[in-house]
Amino acid sequence: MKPQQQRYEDKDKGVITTVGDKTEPILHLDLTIEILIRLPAKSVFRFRCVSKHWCAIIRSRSFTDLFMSISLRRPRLSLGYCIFHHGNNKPLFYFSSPLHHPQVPKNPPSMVSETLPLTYMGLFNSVRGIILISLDRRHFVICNPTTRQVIRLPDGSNTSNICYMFLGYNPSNDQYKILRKIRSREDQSVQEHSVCTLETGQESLFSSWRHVESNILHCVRGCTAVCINGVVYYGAGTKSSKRFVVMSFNVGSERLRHIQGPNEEEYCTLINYRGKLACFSVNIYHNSFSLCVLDDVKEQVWSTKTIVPSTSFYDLYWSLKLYISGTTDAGEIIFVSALIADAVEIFYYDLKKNDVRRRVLGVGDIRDYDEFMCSPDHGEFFCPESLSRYIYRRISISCDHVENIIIF
Amino acid sequence: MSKSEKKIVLKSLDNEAFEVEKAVALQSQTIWVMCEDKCVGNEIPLENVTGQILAKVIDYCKKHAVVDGDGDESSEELKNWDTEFTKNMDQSTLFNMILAANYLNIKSLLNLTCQAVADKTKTIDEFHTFLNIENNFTPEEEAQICQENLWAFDD
Repeated sequence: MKPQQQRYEDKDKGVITTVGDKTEPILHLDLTIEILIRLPAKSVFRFRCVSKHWCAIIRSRSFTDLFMSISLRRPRLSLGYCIFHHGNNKPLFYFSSPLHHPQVPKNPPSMVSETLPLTYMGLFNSVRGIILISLDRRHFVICNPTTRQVIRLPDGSNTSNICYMFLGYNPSNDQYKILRKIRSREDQSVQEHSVCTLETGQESLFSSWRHVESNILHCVRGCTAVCINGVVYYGAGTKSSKRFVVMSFNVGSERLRHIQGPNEEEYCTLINYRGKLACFSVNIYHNSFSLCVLDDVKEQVWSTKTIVPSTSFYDLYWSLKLYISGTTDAGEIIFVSALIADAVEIFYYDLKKNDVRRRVLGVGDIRDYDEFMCSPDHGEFFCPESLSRYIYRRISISCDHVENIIIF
Repeated sequence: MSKSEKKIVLKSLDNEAFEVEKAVALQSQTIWVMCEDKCVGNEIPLENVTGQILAKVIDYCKKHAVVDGDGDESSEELKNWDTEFTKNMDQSTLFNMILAANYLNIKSLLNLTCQAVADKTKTIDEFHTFLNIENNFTPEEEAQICQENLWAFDD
C-alpha cells in the first residue's frame, strides 16, 4: 500500500508521474497552472470537479488573479438583456464574444438569473467583468456573468429618495467599492454620498457605508459610468450651469470631485478611450460627432476630435440606434446597435482613415429559452402570435468585458 | 561584429548541433544570460532539450526573429503561422515544447504552447489524463461539487 500512497501524494502536487512510458514528459504544478489559466472560464469551473486539490487551487485568490492577467489580454464584448413579460421577475441573459476574433464559434447566451425583480432600467457600469445593474430607483445588484453570480446590494434608501450606485475598482490594493448617491425626491439639494467596500472572504460581503464629502450639488446624467485606473467617472449636471460636468470618484482615497465638461454640450456619453476618459456627443446641426479626450486629469485639459462620418453611416447611427461603447486597442471606436434580434451589429470606426468596419455577431437563438418569435420594433421585441407581450431589452453593454472567475 | 560572431551553435541533449543566427537564439532569455555572462563559448549545451524539440524551437525563433530590423511579417501572418505550427502537434510534443520554452525562457512560445494545450483540453476525462490524477472525491462530494458548478456543464 505504501508505494501507492507515495504516488498519490506526488500526484496531488500536480506532477505527472507516468508509469510505464518513461519518455512521457512531466509538467510541474506551475506549468499546469499556466495551461489552466488559458482555458475558458467555463472549463475552469468544470475542472473544479477533477479533484479536491484542483478544486482548492482553482478557488484560490492567486489563481483568480493569474486567470485575470490572461483575461485582460483578451477583451470581450458583453451584452446583457432581460425578457420582459407579465410578472415582476425577469430572466436575465448574458452573451459575450471575443472583441477581436473575426470567426467565433456559436456561443449561445446564458441565463444568469431566472428571476430578476427588475422594473426600471437606468444605470449600469462594469468593471473587470463585474456589472452593477439598477433594478429600480432604489435597488441594485452586482452580477458576474462569468460565474453567474448575482448579489443584491444593501438597500439604497427609503421610498422618498432616489438612489444611484457606481462600481469601482482600485488596482493598487485589488479592492472593489461601491459609491452610493442618495437624493431626496422633493428637494434636489438634499443629497448624500457614501461608499462601501466589497470584502471578499469576509463574513459579510459589504462593509458599512462610510460618508463621502461632496461640496458640489449635482444630479446624475446618462446611464453609465466608467472606471479607469482606480477612478470612477460619471456624467452630471449642476444647478448653476447647463454645462455637462464629470464627477470623478477616487476609489482609493474615496474623494469625490468635479471636472468641468469639455464643451457646451448638455449631454455626453462617457467612454474609456485608450486608457483616458472621453466624452462623446452628437452635433445634430452639423451631422457630426465629437470626441473629447481628457488628456490631463489634474489640469482638466480636454482635446477635441471632430468626426464627420459619411452620410450613410450617420443615417445608420440613428436608424440602428447605435450606442458608443468604447475603443479597441488600435483606437477604433466601437458602436453597437441597440436593436438585437438573433444577432447584434457592431461597427468599428477608424478615426485615422475615417472608415467603418461592420460586423454582425450571432447571439444565438433566444427561442431556446422562451418559445416566441421575435421581431425588431424600435429596440423592443414582441410576440405577435400571442396576446402576452414579451419585451426584450438590453440591460448593459461593454466592450472591455473580461472573464472574471472571482466568487464573492 | 564579424560574421562568425553572429552565429551560435546550440547543442541538444542527444548531441545534435544546430548553427543559428545569434539574433534567433537570443530570443531565449536563458541563452541571452549565458552569452552575457560569457560563461560559454560559441557552443551552448542545452541539457534539457532533445534535438527533435530543439529543431522546432529554432523554427519558431527564426520565424519570430527580427534580424537586422527586417521585421516585415504582419502580425496577422505571424498569428496564422503560430496556429499552423502547433496545430498538428500531439500532447507529448506540446508538453515537451512547454518544458523547452520554460527552460529556455521564451515567453511568447510558452504562451503559445500552453494556449494550444488549453484549446485541446475540453472534457474532464481529457483533463484527468493530462494531469494523470485520479478523482479523490467521494461520490457524495463529487455530486455536490458538480451541482455547484452545474452551469459549467450545459453545452
